[in-house]
Amino acid sequence: MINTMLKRTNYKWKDMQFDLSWSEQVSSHELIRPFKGDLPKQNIMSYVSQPASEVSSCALYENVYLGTGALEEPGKEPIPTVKQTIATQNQFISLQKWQGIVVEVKKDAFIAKLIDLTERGVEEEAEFSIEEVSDDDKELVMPGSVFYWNIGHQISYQGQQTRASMIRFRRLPVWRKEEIDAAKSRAQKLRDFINWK
Amino acid sequence: MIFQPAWFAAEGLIKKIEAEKATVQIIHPDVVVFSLEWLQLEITKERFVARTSQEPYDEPLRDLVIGTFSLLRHTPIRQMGINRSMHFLVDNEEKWHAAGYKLAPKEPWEGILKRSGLISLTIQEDERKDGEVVRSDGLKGFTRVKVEPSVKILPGLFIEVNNHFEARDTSPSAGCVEIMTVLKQSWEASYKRSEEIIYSLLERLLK
Repeated sequence: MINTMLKRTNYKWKDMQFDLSWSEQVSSHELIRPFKGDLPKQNIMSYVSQPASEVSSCALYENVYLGTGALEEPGKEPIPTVKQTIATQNQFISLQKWQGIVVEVKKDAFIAKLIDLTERGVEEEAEFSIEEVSDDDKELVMPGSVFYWNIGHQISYQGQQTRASMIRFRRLPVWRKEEIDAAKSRAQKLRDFINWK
Repeated sequence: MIFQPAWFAAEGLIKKIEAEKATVQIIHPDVVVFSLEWLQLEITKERFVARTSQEPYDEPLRDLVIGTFSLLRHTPIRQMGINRSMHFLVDNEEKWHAAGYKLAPKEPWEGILKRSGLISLTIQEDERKDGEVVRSDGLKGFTRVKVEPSVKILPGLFIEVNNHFEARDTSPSAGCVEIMTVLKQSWEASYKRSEEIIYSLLERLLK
């Protein structure tokens, strides 16, 4: 097996993608407002990423085959002169990743239980300064809130590498009154069913 | 279309400042494309694609998808892909070519093509059970692994794992709930397995 540290750091680029699709009948669904004219399909597709294989085969054809030098001598591999896609986005390589649950909030700090997401291990507890939390996330700091804590390297697209720590609180929709009422109703039914007094 | 940075911020799914700073390519009833510092979103009438290249945001990305479709639970989702891909730098071109030969040996092509090289290879893992395609975890769907030369790094390898899930319940309102349950329950396992597949394969290809 490859050693864990090597495992987590030897990639150069990493993507995570969720791809959800549904049937076309959704066009009449509430999330689409009625609209007089449809945008031509080719216009829509011009904004949407092509499937990875199409992207890479086109790019590869242009980059590798059109840019490949002639064989210098029989039996020698062609030397590809691939044009690299220049990265213009900063990268963050996580060396360690935790999920935290806030257990106590103090004046300028909070205490959290930490679960290691990199290598499952024992739960730990740590105290964080509120200053570590971004302004928009500060309102989410309350007992029971979940956050993700990453430490690693921030690599700018020019190649500058700096150590970094990042905390981001989980954002899920607020429970609505009807959802809370429905949950209460289900709990009551269950309570009645098991005859719990 | 409902999917706009302001809507995501109003529902508390992204920060207000992120919505304000979003780079919008297009917002139209047929297509929405915008990006934040950590997120790229593409939505058409039949498809929702959310992507990040920033590792600390893998979990927030999952939460964004769960949050979005908890609110829009009547969307008749039929299928979901959880895709993980990585680009690796290979030490030298010799090793890079050797990795291609291991995946697709040259012998069958000798005498047919003058100069051949691997552009893309996809392998699928699935099982047929009771007339449906089932994953190794018993859920409906399959796992696909794709290997290609990297277009980002030279000489480099691109490896992608596509965890594909399909809803068993085909009634319009049930698909979303089923797929979101699959996402909540299978996320961690599929995330870790994807990584194991990628690194195990890489190790064999570069040995």
